[in-house]
Amino acid sequence: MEKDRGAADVEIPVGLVHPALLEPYRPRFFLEDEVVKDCEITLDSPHRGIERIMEGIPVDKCNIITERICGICSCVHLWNSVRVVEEGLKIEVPERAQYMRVIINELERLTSHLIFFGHALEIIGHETLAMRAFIAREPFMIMLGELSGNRVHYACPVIGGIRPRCNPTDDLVQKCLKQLAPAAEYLKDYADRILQDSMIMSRVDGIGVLTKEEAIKYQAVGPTARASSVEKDYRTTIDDFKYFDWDVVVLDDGDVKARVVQRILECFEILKIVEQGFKNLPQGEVRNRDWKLGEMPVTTCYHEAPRGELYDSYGLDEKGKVRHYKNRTPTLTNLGAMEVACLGEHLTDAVLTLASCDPCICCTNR
Amino acid sequence: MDWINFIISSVVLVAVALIFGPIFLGLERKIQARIQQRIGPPILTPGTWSILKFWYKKPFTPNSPMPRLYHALPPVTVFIIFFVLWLTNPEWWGILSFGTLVAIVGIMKFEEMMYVLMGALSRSILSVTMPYDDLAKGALIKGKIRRFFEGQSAVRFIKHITIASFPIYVGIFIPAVMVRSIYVEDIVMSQGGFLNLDPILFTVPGIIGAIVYFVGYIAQLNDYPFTIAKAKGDVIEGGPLEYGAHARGNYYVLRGVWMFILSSLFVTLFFGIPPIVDFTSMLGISQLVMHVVLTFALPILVSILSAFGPILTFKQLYPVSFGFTAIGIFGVILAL
Repeated sequence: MEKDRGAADVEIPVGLVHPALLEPYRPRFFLEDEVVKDCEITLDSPHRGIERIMEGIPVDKCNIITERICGICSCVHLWNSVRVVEEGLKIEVPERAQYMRVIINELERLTSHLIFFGHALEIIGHETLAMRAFIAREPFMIMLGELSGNRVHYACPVIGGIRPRCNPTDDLVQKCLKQLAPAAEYLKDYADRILQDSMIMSRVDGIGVLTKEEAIKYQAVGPTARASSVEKDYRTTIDDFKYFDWDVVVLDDGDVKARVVQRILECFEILKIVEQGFKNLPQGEVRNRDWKLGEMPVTTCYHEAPRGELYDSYGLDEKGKVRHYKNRTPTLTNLGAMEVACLGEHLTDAVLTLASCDPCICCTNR
Repeated sequence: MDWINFIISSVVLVAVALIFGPIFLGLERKIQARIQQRIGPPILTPGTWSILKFWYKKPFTPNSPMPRLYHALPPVTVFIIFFVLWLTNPEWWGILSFGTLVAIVGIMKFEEMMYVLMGALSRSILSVTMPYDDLAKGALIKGKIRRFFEGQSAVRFIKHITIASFPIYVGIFIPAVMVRSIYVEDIVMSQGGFLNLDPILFTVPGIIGAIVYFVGYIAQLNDYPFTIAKAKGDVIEGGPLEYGAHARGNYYVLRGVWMFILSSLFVTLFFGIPPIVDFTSMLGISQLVMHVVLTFALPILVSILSAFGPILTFKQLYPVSFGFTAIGIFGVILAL
């Protein structure tokens, strides 16, 4: 059933610059007293035109720029962009490289979810647990730094495999495995602390409900959709994940609490994947160089970014230069779904509801 | 009446509040930082040094329909709230029977109303006036009044004054009910002299009153979790948002001094140690020192609680406020 968009008394525009909005976008809330009757979000004020920049440049340069679409989920942007060429030109990827791509990508997903906890708790006003989210995140950032050489832009996937510096030694693999256990333990304690705090739960339980029907209608994706009973995760369709045993976490409630809990549970699935990756990491080459760039028809690839469905599509001309580049990121539809989810909520809860889809405006305004 | 003592007492109390109030601001930040496993700022930095820094910054004209009035609100409020401190000083008890809890509560209401005015007079660029052409876009609801979120904060402050202030008033009146007098003098005298203290705090109604007062204290300071009128998530800081340069310094003074004065009132009512200024005897000096030392208790407790408290929306605030008011009324019944 459609939510009631009743009469409003007053409009409160927020932003573009506002402490609750980590990046610039402008929600307009239409209120009756303090209850949100309608919400409209305006995006794209700092549009960067990355899709336009890509036109006509060599595909390997294009991939470098693709990684710069986002700082939090840079790996998945690069990986999906690389996958387009690999699928279009049928390039094989060595198994060890597949493993490393998954490991780096999943660690990135974990750090992204932990940023989400920090952001959501900051908006709720619980600064202590927001700070602890970053303490919990730090070991994984260090691990990413050691594995790839960078804490943020890992530059791991390249066409046909991974960059050689992302090929870990056996000692490094053992070291990472050793670091994983205490970090996972801290994360578990942290998650327990959030879930057992009745004051936090009173702020998130039953707030910003997005029903399954609404999630499907407004094309919610990723954890936002999975917290509303929509079982959809592109990792299940990607070849590289076939070596790993993990579950897609789907919850039914569709409220802010479900979106938080979904990500918490997903963190433990990520840890399962990473641990399997380190334990079963095969030996061998990390890059296939037996390929040649040439004309490629427009090819489309989907991937599961930390916030949901990521879409990359482009073709190559006979010189290997990019044409018709398209990129769509998950926040675009997730924020649209949140416009509906926040209806009927108190203004403060409405801002929390918007944040609960973990919006990334940097990706969206690519 | 000794006018010299009267003037000295008034001036010394102002100085004490101006020194220790800003320190409380720093102490609060430091304790919260330690709880958050951060080093945090030096204790004097967020209050004392920041205020001095802000006072010497280039003047800043706020986005306000009445900038002068908006700038005048913090110093005026500071002057008015000093009366709460003065009225608990024995030198003031003789003047027109001012030293009553009714007078103190009246002044507290004035302080609360100032935030409503601040909200009404602030027009931050972060909201309606952000130069962004969005009116042409098509929400279903069009043509409504566009309100700055400081205006929304003013609306929230009115609700906050109505609801969240109950606990502190009930807490204040529990000692009065126990002593059967609204005079601060009677409440202090009933707890014995400084060397023979029998504080109300160590009675059952007194403990209940102190708990309720503590909750009300947090609400009065608009600190976490009672910070809905200044919630960073939407209205950011509410009315004080547009204070910059010297006006922000004045606002920090207001906040620090109010923190000190409410703590001082607690020490006077629940420990029976008023802020006496008597430098002629060791006993008088000791009493003032003890008073100041005890005023640290509430800010420290607030810092710890607020580090673990999320912002309560009105949905949670109403039951919490009514719940503690009910506990306070139970304390009043016990005190009868």
